[in-house]
This record gives sequence, C-alpha cells and structure tokens, in this order.
Amino acid sequence: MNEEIILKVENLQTKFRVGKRIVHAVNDVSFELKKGTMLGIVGESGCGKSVTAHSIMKLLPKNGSITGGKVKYYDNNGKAHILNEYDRNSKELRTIRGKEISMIFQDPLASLDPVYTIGSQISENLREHENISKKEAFDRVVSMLFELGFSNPEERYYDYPHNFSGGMKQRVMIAIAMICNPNILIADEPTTALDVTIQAQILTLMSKMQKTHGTSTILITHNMGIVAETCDEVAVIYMGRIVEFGNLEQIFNTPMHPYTKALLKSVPVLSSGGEKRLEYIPGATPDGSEVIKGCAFADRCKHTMEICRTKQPVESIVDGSHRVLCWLYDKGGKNA
Amino acid sequence: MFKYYITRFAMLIPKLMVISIIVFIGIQMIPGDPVTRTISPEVYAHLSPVQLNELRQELGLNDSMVVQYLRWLSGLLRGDFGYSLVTGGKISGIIASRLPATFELAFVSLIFATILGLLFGFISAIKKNTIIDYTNTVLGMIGISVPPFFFGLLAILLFSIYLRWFPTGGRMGYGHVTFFARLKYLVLPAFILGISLIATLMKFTRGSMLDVLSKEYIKVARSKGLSEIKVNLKHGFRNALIPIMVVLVMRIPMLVGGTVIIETVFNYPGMGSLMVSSISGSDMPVVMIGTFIMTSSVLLASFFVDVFAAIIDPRIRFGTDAGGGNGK
Amino acid sequence: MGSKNRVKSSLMRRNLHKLLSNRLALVGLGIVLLLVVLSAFAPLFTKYDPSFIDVSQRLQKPSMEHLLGTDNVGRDLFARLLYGGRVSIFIGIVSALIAAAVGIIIGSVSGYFGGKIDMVLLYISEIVMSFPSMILVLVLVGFLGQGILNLIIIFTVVGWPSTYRIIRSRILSLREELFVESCRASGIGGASIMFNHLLPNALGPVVVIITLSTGGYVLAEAGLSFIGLGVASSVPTWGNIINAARNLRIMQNFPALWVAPGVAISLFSLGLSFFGDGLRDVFDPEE
Repeated sequence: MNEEIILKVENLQTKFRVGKRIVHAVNDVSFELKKGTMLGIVGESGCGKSVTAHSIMKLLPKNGSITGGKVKYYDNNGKAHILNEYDRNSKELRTIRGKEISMIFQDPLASLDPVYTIGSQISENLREHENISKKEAFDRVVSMLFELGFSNPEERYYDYPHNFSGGMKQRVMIAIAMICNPNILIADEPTTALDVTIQAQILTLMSKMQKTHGTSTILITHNMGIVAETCDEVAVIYMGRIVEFGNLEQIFNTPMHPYTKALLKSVPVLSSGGEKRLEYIPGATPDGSEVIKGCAFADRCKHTMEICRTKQPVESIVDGSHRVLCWLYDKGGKNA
Repeated sequence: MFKYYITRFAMLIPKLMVISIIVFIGIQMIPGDPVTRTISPEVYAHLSPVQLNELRQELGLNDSMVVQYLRWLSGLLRGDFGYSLVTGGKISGIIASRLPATFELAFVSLIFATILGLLFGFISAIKKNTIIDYTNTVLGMIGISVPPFFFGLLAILLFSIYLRWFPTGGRMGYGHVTFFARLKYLVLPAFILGISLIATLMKFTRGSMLDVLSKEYIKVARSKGLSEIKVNLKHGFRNALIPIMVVLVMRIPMLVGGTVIIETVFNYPGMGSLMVSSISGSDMPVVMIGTFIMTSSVLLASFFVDVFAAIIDPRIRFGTDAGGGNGK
Repeated sequence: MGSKNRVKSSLMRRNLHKLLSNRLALVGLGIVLLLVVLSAFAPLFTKYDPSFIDVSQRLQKPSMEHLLGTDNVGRDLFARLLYGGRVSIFIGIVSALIAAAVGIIIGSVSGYFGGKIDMVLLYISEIVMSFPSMILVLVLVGFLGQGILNLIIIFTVVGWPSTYRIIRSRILSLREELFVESCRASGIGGASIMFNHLLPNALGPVVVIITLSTGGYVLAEAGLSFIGLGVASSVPTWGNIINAARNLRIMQNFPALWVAPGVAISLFSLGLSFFGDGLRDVFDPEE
C-alpha cells in the first residue's frame, strides 16, 4: 500500500440546524482517496454520504457546518490544504473548487442554469481558473464535448439546456466538472435521476474519463451494482459513520459488517449472474436528530448483542486496508 | 426569435381595437349634440338649424354606427381626436401639451422604482433574516399601505416647505427648457409615484431570489469556484428577474393610474391632472381620448417589458421552436 | 362522513393556529378592529356632530375640549375622523364584498359551463384589466357621477376580475379531479357538485382578496375624495377631510387637519395588509 494519497478525510463531523433541532448528518467519517483510483461511498438515502461529499468542498447549505475533523487535500506540489479550515467562500477554497476538485451532482435536470448556453456554462469554469482567450476556451470546450460523445459539438455549444435530454445534461455536467482537468472528481449519485439505459452510458463514460485523465474519483451511490462495476475501493456508510472500508474484492468477497452483507443481498448485482433472491433490510434508518448510545444499526441487525445497544463499536482492522466498525469483530476479526 | 416579438405585437392589435370600440361607445353616450365634438364651437355658434342639419348629413352623423366608428377610428389614427367641449380647442393640441409631461414623469418613475425595488429585494434576499431584511420588509409594507397622496403631502411639507430643496409643484419655471432644468420638479412626484412599485418589486424580488438561490445550479456555480458576487448576480439575479418581469407588466397600469393623484398633488400639468380637471368640468370627449391614450400606452409599455423578458429568458424566446435545435 | 368532518376541523384548527401564531397578522387584525369599532360606535366616543359648523371655534389647537382641534369652519376633527371612518370603511368593505360576490358568480358560471361562455367572460375580464383601474374609475365617475352608491358600483365593475380569475381557474382545475367524477357517478346533480365541493376549495384565496381589496378601496375612495371626485364634500370621509390640505395655508400651518386622517387611512390599510398577508400564508403556503 504505497500509492500516493491525494485526499484524506479524518473524523469528519457535519451538523445541520433544522429549526430548533440539530441533525447529526455525518458523525465520524474517515477515509483516504488514492491517486488515480475510484472510491465508492455506498449507503441508503439519508445516511450522510451526500453530506460527506458536500463537506469536502464546503458546499453545504447555510444551516449546515463542519463541527469536527479534517479534510486534507494534497495538491500537485504535495502541499497539504486543510480544506475545512478555509472560509466557506474564501479565495483559497475557490481556487481549488472547479479547478482541482470538481463535482457532479445528483439532478442533472436542475443543475444547469436555464438562461445560459451550455457552452458558456462549461467555459465559465475554464475561464474562471485559466487565463486563456475566448477562442482557446471555445476549442477546449468543443473537444471536451466531442470526447463526451456529442457528434456536432460546435453547434451544441450554443444550445440552451432546455434543448437537452437528461442524459445529455449529465454529459454537460461531466464536461463542466472535467474541463479544467481536476485532480479529484466527486460524483454525487450521478445516475440516480436518469433512465436505466442512460445510467449505463453515463457510467461507462465516467469510467473512461477517469481512466484517460487519471482523475481520482469519489463516486457516491446507493447501488452496489454500480460500485462493483466501477470502483477500486469501497466505503460503506451508515448513519454518518463508515461501517466498513476495503477494496473491491474485500467488500464483495468477504463482507464483514452485517449491514454490508444486507446491502449486497438487497441490490441486484448484474455481474454476479444467476437468479438470487433479493432481500430487504428490515426497519428504517433512525432519525438523525436522536442521539444513539450504541451502534446505530443495532435495531435492524440480525446479530445484535448486549454491547451493541450500549456502546459505540470501535474499528477493527481485518486485513490491511480492510476495516470494519462492528462489535462482532472486536477480537481481531476472527468471529463470523 | 423575431417571430416571437412580431406575434406578441400582433396580439396587441385586437385588444387595442376593442378598447377603441369601448371608447367610441363612451363618446356616443356623452349627452349633448355630437356635432359640437367634430367642429369648432365658434363655427357651431354661427350655424342655423338648416345648416346644422346639412352639416350633420355631411359629417355622416346619420350614417350607421359601424361607418361612424370606422371614420372616427381613421381620424384617431391620423391624430384627429375631435374638440374639447370646454375650451373648444382641438383635443390633439391639448394632448400634445400634456402627454410628454406624463411620459417623462411615468418613465423616470418606472426606471427609478424598478432599479430601487430590484436592488432592495436583492439585498434583502442575500441578507435574509438580518436586521436589513426586516427593515426592508417593514418599510415595504408601509410603502404599499400608505396612500400616495399622503406621502406626497408629507414630502411637500418636509422637502418643499421646510427644507426648500424642491419646488412645491409644477413642471418647469420660466426658461426651464432642458430635462435637467426640469429635474428638480420631477424628483418628488417621480419618487412618490414609484413608492408602491418599489415596495412591490422588492417583495417579489426577495421571494424570487430566495427561490432561485435554493436551486441546484447555484450550487453548481459555487462548485466552479465562482465568487459569491458572481454566483448571486450572474446566476441568481438573472434568473430571479424572469418572474419579476410578469409582476412589472401587471404593475405598469397602476403606475400610470397613479399619475392621476400624484399630478394633482403636485400641480403637475400632465395627462393625469388633465383627466381630473376634464371630469370636474364635464369635458367627457377629452376624458375618453385621455383614457384611450393612457390605456394604449400601458399596453405598449407592457409589450416592451415582455420583449425584455424574452431577451433574458431563452425559454420564452425559443419557446415556439424548442425542438428546432434538438439533434438527438 | 364523520371522519371527513373531523379531518376538515383539524385542518381548520391547524390553520387557525398558524394564523394565531403570526404576530404581525394579529397586530394587523387588532388595528383594523379598533378602527372599525371606533367608527361604528362613533357616538359613544365623541359628543360632537361631525357636520356642526361653529365658526367661533374655527382652527382650534388640540385640547381636552377638542381632542384633535377643529377645522377651518369649527367642526370637531376627532368627531369627523370617527364618522368619516364610518363612510370610508363602509365603502371599502361593501365594495370588496360585492366585487367578490360578482366575481364568484361570474367565475362559477365561466368555470362550470366552460366553452364559449367561458371564453367571452374571460375576454371581458381581460379587457377590464387592461385599463389602468384608476383611469377606468375616473371615466365611470365621469358618467355616473359622484356619491357613495356610485363609488360602490364603480369599484365593483373595476374589481370583480381578480376574484373571477381565481374562482374560474380553481373550478377548472378541480373539475378535472376525480372526486367530482365520483359525485357524478353517485348521482348528485351538476350545480350541487359545484357549490358543495368546488367552492369551499376556492374560498380561502377569495377571503384573502376581500381583505386586501378592502384596503385598496379605502385607499381609492380617499384618493378620489382627495381630488374632489369621490363622495360629496358635505359627507365626512377620510379622503374628504384630507382634501383640506389642498389649501397651502392649511397644509403648512395646520398639519393636524390632514395628518390625522392620513394616519388613520394608513393604519387601516397597513392593518389589512398585515392581516391579509397572514391569511395568505395560511391558505397558500407556497407563496
């Protein structure tokens, strides 16, 4: 394990103020992103995976704030930036946003500004960060659009978002995110809002872009199938905590945490083949505003023990990079 | 794109026709001899009953209503508005002396109120739930609720009588020919006329901005590393403007109607005060023509706002042929 | 049926709670009620006849005898304000109610019958609205003449389209909804469907319109009376009292004479906008 680390999140904690309540969206999240790889962050809706993504670039809404932990980003010169210490819209953060770390959002239909041409929305990012002429920007945008599969990019440059389908809009979003050739791409459920057939196209495209540009990528999804096809490493998140982390083989071949196992059974994995019965996970995710004493999954788990309800589990290292947050594996990970 | 503007303009014509018919019917309902409205009263006074009858025939007053309407309409289009019952002068002459004054007042007021309303609404939205926002909201409520003539009287008392910054009324003193010489006469009435528009626009701009700022593309703009000013103005404000244009179109008639009161308060010699004095003097032909002119100006002004809305919103502009550029 | 009523009453309770927790709306309602009570029971609050001229008492400063002083012919200003409020508020409320009633009737006809009738009525409302309302009011004053009754008629003619449009569009959209179909299937007649099921759904916004337009008509009456085209000057109304300010000497030297009625109008209209906005929040949470 001597790959270069480009992003390191340590004990991240993010809270929201909703009226008089405090919602703990992210309780304790730590992970590392290795250069040139794709990391999947998986979990059910409301588990804090999106908030984690938004916290990295401090793109939280005004009622949300990072209350603990560190987000460390290592730039091309090896210099470490502690992103969460920069002000929400500070110059330091803005030079990194869009240029070195960029993001693709969940809903492509709502992500494009309806009053500007898609070309100007893509080149806006480029011209914000690079001192280049209009003509150069145009050429770069056109070649990016071509790379993303638009057959007549010079014409599409001048089209408005309302002329595009959902899948095409998401390609435009990828163009916006990739135009500055960022070091890190964060994709927050990039295919959830799209038709199933389009989903596959967009994913293939993203994998291709990631490989050709060598962009380190964080892919946020609730779909284990997508993770299986695209990711190198996987973090499973539940109630604002990473409950299991490992590489693709570790997570899929030897899942440890009961939640990971349940997730794997509840999602159709295309590549696994064969008729397998899908299972659902009983119960619903607890309310984020309650403080849970023990393990947050205890109420839905098949293997709940006494200690699960009283004490927050500690992390056990299973094998190298494979770690799990569960009392079942407290004694060196021998239990099953 | 041109097609859109032309269609919008063409849609004005039937409406203008209906309004002209209503005005024509109104004129027919005015009591008294219609001959007096088509010829100068001096001539009328010297005519014998036989001559009058011949004249009536000649003027076509015995023709059918449709013919009379069409003749009246063609006169209207050529600028022949008939005669005033009170002064005996040509109505076109009276209008010519009054319309520029009201145009000046309403236009300055509109521009000024739009800028202030948008600005305050914008500030309120980005400073949401701060003391600035609350102050704006309360001032806005007062601006909508206090009658404009009361504002006008207070302003005259304070700024004209006590502070002597501005004249108490009128449009120009002797020799004040240029716009800038007249400006000091214009400041108070234009501002007072615009107060309720400022308040309304502020309220809607605030709401519209807050709505837009919660949109996903604002987050995308931030994720590109744009500064807050750029995010708020280029992506926020520009989108927030679109629904506000509709509000502006709906409020222009109120602004123009407001000239009636404001011009009376400030003794401003425009169309509004002309309407008031003509009704007091039962000079109904002038009232009807004044109505036609002010109503058509409002429709025309709304058309220009629509054009502006189409310029800032491509979805309106390309609304008719949205599929045209779709190369799937 | 019983459970349906319970749902309805809990919704009403929630709405009432929402309204009561809106402090600004309550303050507005308080101001409006205060002014209405003061005007309606004017004789209880002042011993003066608002039209009694006493030249020996002209232009008195405020005192215990004359709370707000007297005007240029010696009439007690406080009494004129209270009695003036009677007329102004009466015109405002009655115009708003009648305009809304007319709007509801025409809107129901338009929405229910649809087709050509709907098209014609909609076009008429559009034409009425394309005139600046102040100008239309003036022209109608020119034809009908001044007076309380005429003002109410004129305000109705000018004001009905706003209620009409809401009622019409609500009925059109609700007509599509399934529960009307189910009523039809169970054999309830056309008109009774409309009035038992559709109208209650549209009444919320109409209440808001009535509240806000009452203020609008009070302002309009005041404006018209101020320029001398409203109610005959012998009748005290808030606008007629302010009319005194058109005399520059009075305006400059006796500001109480016109500031007092100006404040009364402003408070009444401000109270109605606070209350009306609160009502709107209750009925139409999206805005």
